[in-house]
Amino acid sequence: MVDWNLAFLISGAGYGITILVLIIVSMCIWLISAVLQRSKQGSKG
Amino acid sequence: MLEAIGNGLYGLIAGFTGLHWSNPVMIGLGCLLLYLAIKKDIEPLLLLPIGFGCILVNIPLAGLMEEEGFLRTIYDAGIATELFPLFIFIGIGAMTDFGPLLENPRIFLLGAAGQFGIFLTLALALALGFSKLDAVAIGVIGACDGPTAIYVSSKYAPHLLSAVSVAAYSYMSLVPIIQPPIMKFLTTEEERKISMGAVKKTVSKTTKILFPLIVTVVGGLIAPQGLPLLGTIMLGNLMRESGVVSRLTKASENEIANIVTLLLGISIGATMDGKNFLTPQTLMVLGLGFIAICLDTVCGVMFGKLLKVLSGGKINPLIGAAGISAYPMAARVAQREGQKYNPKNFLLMHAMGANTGGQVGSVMAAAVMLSVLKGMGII
Repeated sequence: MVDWNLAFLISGAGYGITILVLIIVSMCIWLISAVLQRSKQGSKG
Repeated sequence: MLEAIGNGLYGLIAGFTGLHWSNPVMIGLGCLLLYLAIKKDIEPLLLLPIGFGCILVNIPLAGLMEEEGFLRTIYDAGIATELFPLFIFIGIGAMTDFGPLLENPRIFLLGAAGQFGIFLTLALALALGFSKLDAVAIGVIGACDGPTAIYVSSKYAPHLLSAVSVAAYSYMSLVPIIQPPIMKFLTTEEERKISMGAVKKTVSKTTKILFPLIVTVVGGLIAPQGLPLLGTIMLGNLMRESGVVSRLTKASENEIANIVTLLLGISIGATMDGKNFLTPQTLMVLGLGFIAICLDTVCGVMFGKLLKVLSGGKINPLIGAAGISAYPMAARVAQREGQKYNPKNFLLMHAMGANTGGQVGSVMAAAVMLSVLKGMGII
């Protein structure tokens, strides 16, 4: 007997969390890049 | 005297009499893999040792996969312990330039979209009656990433290892055939012609060094079950970007990767014993794996279309198809398809960004899946 609830829970939760983690990582990278660029421009100025 | 000679002669034909019907079929399959590797140049580094390992293990009475057989020793040392795929990951990390991805971090989302097939195939496998752990191993074929598939299946469904790894590597090599019709079907000619211009090179060395650290810490905290996968690929990349351990970087991407690839390939081939491999289950694994990779492409392109709309038409949806882990093959497919419709269009570096996002995404997806299952008490 297929437990569809479990199947969709595993897939939905798994995919949702994957996207969330990648969004968090990409935002971290974007933030760090922005901070580094700003500090570089600041030291040039 | 005559009896002794008779017995001696029987010893010479014992191998023939010990043949099961499945053994010649599998020897034929091994030869087919060798043909694809040697004549068609399809993933030769893996298909050649896999094909030969398959032939070796289907010769009866040699006992190569029995206790103390040499293939069993290699298998136990590197596959059962999950070490081989992790060593390969260090090499992959050392070879990968995440620069194009870091130039445009939103492309990371294409790497997430490209993992959709993993989760839908997992649900499909459960629906077809596979156990939860088997379904996880089958779903991971959709990562389009050989070492990830091997790592997960050897850990949670070792009896499916041969089918899963053959499916993963076969479909990876078939990406240039599988993806273009789907890309064409889902996009308009106008979309395929969108030019994305050149990739800027503004990412600092510091950012490139921080990237593997951030991915390891953030990813590891959220999905600790996948830390071996994430940690090894990011270690390789940190060695590359730091520039201070060039000897280790070169060894990882050359000597270590080559030796491990040979041992990994022959060990996978050694799991292709006819009696275990020629089952309806294997056919189902191959079928589900194909569905997984098609779904990855569909979802990647559809997400590319969404990004196109959100960016005001600046993103070519074809690069969405590159959000899988088959690196750099998927990026080259996007480039080739884009140039068919606009010869002045150079999508390669953008597609490389999506492709490296797909690499991280596939590892992350596997890690998340394992942690979610662990959280649910399933593994």
